[in-house]
Amino acid sequence: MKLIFLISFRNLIRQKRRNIQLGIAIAFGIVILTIANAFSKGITDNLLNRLIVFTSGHMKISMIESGRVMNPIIRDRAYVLKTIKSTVTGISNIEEDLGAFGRMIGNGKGDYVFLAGVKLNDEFKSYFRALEGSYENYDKGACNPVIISEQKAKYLNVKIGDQVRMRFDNVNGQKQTAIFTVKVIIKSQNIFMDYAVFTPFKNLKQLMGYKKFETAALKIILDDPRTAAEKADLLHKALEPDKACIWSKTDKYSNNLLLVPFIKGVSLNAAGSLIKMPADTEWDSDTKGAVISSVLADKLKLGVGDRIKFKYKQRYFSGLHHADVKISAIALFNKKISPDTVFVSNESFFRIYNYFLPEDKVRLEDYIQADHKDPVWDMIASEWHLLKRTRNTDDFAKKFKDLMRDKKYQPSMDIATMYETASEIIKMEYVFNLVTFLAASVIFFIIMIGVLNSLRMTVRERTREIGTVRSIGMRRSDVKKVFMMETFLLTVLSWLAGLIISLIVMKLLTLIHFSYDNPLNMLMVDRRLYFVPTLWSVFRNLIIVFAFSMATAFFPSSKAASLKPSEALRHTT
Amino acid sequence: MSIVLLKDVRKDYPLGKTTVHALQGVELDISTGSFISIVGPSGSGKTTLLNIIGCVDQATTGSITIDDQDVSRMTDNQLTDLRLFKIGFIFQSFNLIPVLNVLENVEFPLLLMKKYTSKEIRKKAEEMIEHVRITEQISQRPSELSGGQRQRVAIARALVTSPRIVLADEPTANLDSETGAQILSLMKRINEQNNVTFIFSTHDPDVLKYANDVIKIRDGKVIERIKCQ
Repeated sequence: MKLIFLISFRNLIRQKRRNIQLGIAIAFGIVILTIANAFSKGITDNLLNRLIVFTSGHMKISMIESGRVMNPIIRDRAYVLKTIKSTVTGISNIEEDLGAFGRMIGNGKGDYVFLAGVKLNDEFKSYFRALEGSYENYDKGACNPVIISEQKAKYLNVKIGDQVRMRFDNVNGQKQTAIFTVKVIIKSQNIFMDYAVFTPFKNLKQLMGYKKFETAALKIILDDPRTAAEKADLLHKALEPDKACIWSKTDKYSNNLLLVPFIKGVSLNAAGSLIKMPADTEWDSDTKGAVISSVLADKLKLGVGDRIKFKYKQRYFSGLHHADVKISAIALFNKKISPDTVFVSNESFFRIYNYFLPEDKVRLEDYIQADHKDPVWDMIASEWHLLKRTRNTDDFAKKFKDLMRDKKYQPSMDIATMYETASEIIKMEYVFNLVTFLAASVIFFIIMIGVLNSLRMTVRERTREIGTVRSIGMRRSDVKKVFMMETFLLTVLSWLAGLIISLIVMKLLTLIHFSYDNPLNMLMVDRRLYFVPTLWSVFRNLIIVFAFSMATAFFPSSKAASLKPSEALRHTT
Repeated sequence: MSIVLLKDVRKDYPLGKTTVHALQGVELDISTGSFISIVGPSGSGKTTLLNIIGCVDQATTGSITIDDQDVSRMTDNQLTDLRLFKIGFIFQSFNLIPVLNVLENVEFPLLLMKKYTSKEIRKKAEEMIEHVRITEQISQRPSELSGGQRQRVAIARALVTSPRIVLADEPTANLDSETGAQILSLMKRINEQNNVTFIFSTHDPDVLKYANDVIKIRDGKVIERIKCQ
């Protein structure tokens, strides 16, 4: 191999001019490929690890009640967080996602804004550079400080210290007006983010009416965003709900009552012989209130129209919660169903359950001994309705449209990924990657044709030498290796040169500042082109170039090796 | 004892629509240690005969035995190894490898043999270079050498593997008469000292002074074999 290396290397130097020209062509290809890859990776990083992180996260868990999709609410944040942490690996961060959309009024001017709750960290500070004011103690002293972009401040005609008003819906669907003080004016690294206004997370949470243990939605930032869909599927399984129930006590009765909700639109006919309504009772799926057993009605001396009172331990408040529900029907329960079971309409049940989550969970089978295949189980609603996973924005949008129309009180839980919430960004990233890859491939293909022709010419010129070495005793395989090695060395040296040049070019390109605003700015960082050359992409390029050049060198090299020594010796150039 | 034995060897080349009969039933028996000159006019088949003896070309028909080995059924790798281990080549245009210096050119076949250590290779090559008296040019590339020096390097390269046969195709054709004579003397000396069989083609009448046997060839046929000593 030493001999082959020596001859190949010397031959490379021997045909200096041609090899330098060829090397420049390969290096040029490498420059294009490296810059294209780094730019594409920069776009990916910018979009997936910055823009999406700040907007929807790589995964997002939200819960919707009564069709209010703009005001999501996770009532039991701790449970969801615990499930996420025990199910999903490779989490970089979990953030509470809180925001309100509404009209903000400045000095004589107004505009619609998205007010986002923010917990300041270094990443935020570097992404949103403070132009006026300071992040230092910005949330101290002022009532509801806001961080606002330069453009938005101009539009609202406000400066540091000015007050702005905003009207928005709180979590309960009520209109809320709040006054904010402009504390920091920022310039975002990305034009796309210029339209958001930020306020401290805790202030917004309070203004929006969320309790301490609640949150709007949870954003998950992953180490590897590409695994979002797969991890969302896992989490979807882990967040499968149990049947909802409230295990409670009622006065003057020693037994515990088990309140369970009907699903929305339930038909009691489905219960068959398990629950039988008296013939004169009118009850349909829109009827609110509770269906109790005739046995319980007798014991508590309650009739239709009366209210059944109960109390239970709460999950997040001390003391018992007292509640009652109107009895809308008294039915005959089959012996498989405990007479202490109270079936409550979906709306009546979740109006209580959502606001005052019960602490105790009991085995429903102790009260309802019917086989699990029995339709009565299908009539009982779960703690939440786990929405089906969707894979694209269209399905995701349809899912939420249906949800808005449904307006059920039972919470609906959704687990979405950036592939649904930010599919346009992902598509854009994919298109950029594809375009850069195709452009680089075409350039490379052309360059490799040059390599092929050059090598064919070299083989032709060196035919007599091939004859000589074959006569002396060099095997065909070694002749082939000489030419392959030559191409290999040329490729490696050109790759190295191309890599160095591309790093310099990228450095120079990042010095250019694009001061004017245009939509392409969203692909930049701080209005500058953004390149992320990774070690993997650098070596992947080497492998690609190596594969291309070896493939193109293979045929001329094989031809050189297959020459008959006598014919090669007779060859005249 | 025969080192080269050719029986009814024929070689046909296609040339356009016709066939050239380069060798027509050549019978040849060459003994070990001979110093044989093949003479004949241009196109008589001298180079073809040398190529067939040197296993760089294959006969159309006939039997060829080199050092008791029938080469007609050998694979390409076996033929390559036979050339490497048993045959040395000296070409009219020297055919040195231009990117290697004198020492590296001489080391080249030894490296291909994969039989010796680096030290042994270096030692053998240096000895052979000294033997052909071009030690002063040891680090020079072929392009920096005179014709005679190049041919000495070619001889050193041909002999460094201690071959049984050395084939030389008009070794003095590109040299002036004085240098040619020196080269022939060198070859003769090596022939006598090392008992290496030399077979060379030539037009040069002075060569005949050195040869034991002269084989005259015309139209692809051996027409005469003259014993010179």
